[in-house]
Amino acid sequence: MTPDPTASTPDALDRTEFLARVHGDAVLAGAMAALFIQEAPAQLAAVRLAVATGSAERVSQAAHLLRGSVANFSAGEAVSAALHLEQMGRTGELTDASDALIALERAIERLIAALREFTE
Amino acid sequence: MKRKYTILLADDDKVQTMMLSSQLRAKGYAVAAAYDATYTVMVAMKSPPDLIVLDIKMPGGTGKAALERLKSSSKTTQIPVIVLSGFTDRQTIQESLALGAFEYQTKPADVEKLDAAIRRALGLPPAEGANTPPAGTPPTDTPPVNASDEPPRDTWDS
Repeated sequence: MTPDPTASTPDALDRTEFLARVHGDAVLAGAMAALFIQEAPAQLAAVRLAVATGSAERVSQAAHLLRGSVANFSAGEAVSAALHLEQMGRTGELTDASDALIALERAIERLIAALREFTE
Repeated sequence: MKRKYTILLADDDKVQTMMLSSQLRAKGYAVAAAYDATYTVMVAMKSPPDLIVLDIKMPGGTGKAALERLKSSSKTTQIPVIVLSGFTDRQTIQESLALGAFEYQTKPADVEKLDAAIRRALGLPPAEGANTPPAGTPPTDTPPVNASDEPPRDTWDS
């Protein structure tokens, strides 16, 4: 599928909203970022495994957990990508799950790159 | 707050738990965490907290099952439970409230909203400086839902 160049893409990370959520506490923001960077590979691996095994229920569960984690950062792109996969799992329609997984992986990569500024 | 109330955060989202733990401690609560449903019930039975903030989807059994067990045990039935979930569908909200949840809030978590609900559940006065909009002010966000409210929109959270 060719991306629509005119479609707006949510940001990898809304820094302003994220900092507002932690009330400007840079130490807490850094700790949350570091924890997510540590936890994300396992969460993503769970989604990957669920897609590979074709288990709709597991896709839904794993994507839901990841969506919750990324929502803490006001990470619109990753939230949308995870929600897309979660809904695929909920409906049992996994035909395009591999493409959705790639989109999610890229969104998580961009989010992690953006979060590194908080851990430095 | 004269007495230190204990809040059990039951959620497998460790990032959110870290954030809420820090923010609720800053508000004067003692905070414990449980990352799965079975452990949540075990902790609540062994050392009952004053209130539980419970996610609906967790490993080790669902949060709904945990809520059911908490409300059916004489040891834990009186503990107020606030459900904090990524689901905004009508069925999940209604089921949670029917199972005895004090209130249902949606993720991502907002500590001020959560604190307000905790205070209501514990019978505490609103926090000093709590933002109470004047009468007639239109809501700016999806309100929390409790057993006396109509459920909100039947959609997915984003």
